Amino acid sequence: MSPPIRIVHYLNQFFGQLGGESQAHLEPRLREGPVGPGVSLQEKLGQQARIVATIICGDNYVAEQEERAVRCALELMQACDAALFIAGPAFNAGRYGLACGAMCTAVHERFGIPALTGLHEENPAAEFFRRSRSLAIVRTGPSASSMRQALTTMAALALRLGRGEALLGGEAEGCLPRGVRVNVPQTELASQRAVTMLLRKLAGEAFKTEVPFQPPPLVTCAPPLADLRRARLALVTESGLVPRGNPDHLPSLRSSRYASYEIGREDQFEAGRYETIHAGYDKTHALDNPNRLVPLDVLRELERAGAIGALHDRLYTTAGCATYLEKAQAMARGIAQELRAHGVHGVILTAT
Amino acid sequence: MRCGAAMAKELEANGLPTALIATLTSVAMMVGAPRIIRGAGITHPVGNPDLPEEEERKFRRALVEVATQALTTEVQAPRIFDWVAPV
Repeated sequence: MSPPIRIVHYLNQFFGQLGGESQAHLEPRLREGPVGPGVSLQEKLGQQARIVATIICGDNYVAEQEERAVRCALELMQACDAALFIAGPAFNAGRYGLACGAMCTAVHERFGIPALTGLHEENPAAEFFRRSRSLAIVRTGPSASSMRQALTTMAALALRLGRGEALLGGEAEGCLPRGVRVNVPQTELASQRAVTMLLRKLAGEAFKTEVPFQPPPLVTCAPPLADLRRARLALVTESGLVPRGNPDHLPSLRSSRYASYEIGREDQFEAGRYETIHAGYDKTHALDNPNRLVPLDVLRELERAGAIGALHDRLYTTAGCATYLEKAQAMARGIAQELRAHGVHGVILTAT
Repeated sequence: MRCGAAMAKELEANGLPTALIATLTSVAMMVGAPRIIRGAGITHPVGNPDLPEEEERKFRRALVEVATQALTTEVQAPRIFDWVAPV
C-alpha cells in the first residue's frame, strides 16, 4: 500500500477551537494533526490520507491583511511536505469563505498541489472563486448543520485529487459548477439536440440548456452631487447599530427587515445608549464607541462647518449578516423610497 | 458585508449617490457598488481603536471626507476611492 496522502487543513478561529468573534484577529498558527472538523474529516479519509497539520487563522486577520496572512500561512506550510490542501468547509460564512478561497489559491500557486474547499452557493466567495482553476469548491448547505454531508463529499474528492485524478469540478461531482466546458461524446448531433430542445420549449415542457447564459451584472451609477454644501445626506448602515434594547426586535442574521431611528437631536452616538445586534463580529469596539460603526459625530461637525448642507434626521439600519441578496435589494429599495420622500440627495453607508 | 454592497448598488440605481465604507473592497467591487471607500476594519469601519479619542475622531473625519468627495465624483463603473492612513 502506498503511503498516505499528506494533507494540510485550514480552519478559522471558530472551527479551529481558538474562540469566537473575539478571537477573529488572531494571526495564522500551525497545529499538528487534525483539529475540530478535521477530526471527522480524517475519519472519512481513512488510511489513505493523513491530515498532518492544521493552519488556523482569525477571519478578520485575513479580511484586513490578506497578503500578510497568506504569506504567513505559506511559511507555516513549508515544512509540511503536503500533497493536498483542504480549507473549511466555510458554508455561508463570508469572511471565512474568502479566506478559504485565498488560501487555496495561494497554496496551489506556490506548491503546485491540488486545493479543495466547501462553500454554500450564496457565499460571496463562491462567486469570487468558482471559475478559478486553482481550487475545487464542494457545494455545501448554508450552515454547519450540513457539516457531515460536506465532509463526506470533500473526503471523497480529496482522495481522488490525492491519487492524481483530474476533477472537472462540475455539479455531478458535488461541486459548484465552474462554467468550464468540456468535450463529452454525444450520440445525437447538435442539430438534433437543438431541435429536440426547441420542440420541448414550444410544448411548454422542461428542457435543459447546454450553454447556460449569465447576463453580466448591470451597475447603474447615480449622478454625483453637484454641491456638497447644499446636499442633504443620510446615514444608512448594515452594521446592526440600534438603540439599546433593540426596540424593533431586528434579527441578528438573515434579516429581511430594517428600521429607522430619530437622530435629529444627537451630536454623536453615546456609548451605553446604542448597541449592535449583528451576529457576525465582535462588538467590543462598537460598544465602546458606536461612532466607529456610523460616523454621526463627524457628520455633525461637517454640518456645523457648512461642509454639507444638512444631515437627515433618521438613521436607517439593519444587520447585514448572511443576508440573501434579494432581501438586501428589497430593503434598499424601501430605504431609497423613504429617503427620496424626505429630500435626501446622497447616502453614507457603512458595512461591517 | 455583501449585504451593504448590494444595498449601496440598489440605492445608486434608485438615483442616490452612495458612499459605501466597507473593509472587504473586493466583495464590494464584485457585487458592483459604484462608490467604495475602504473601511478601517471589520468591527470598526470608521474607527481606529488604537488611537487616543481625539486622534481617532480626526482619523474618522478624514475617512468620511473621502466618502463625501466620492459623492461629488462622477463614476461610470464600480470604483475604490483609496486613502492612506496618517502615520
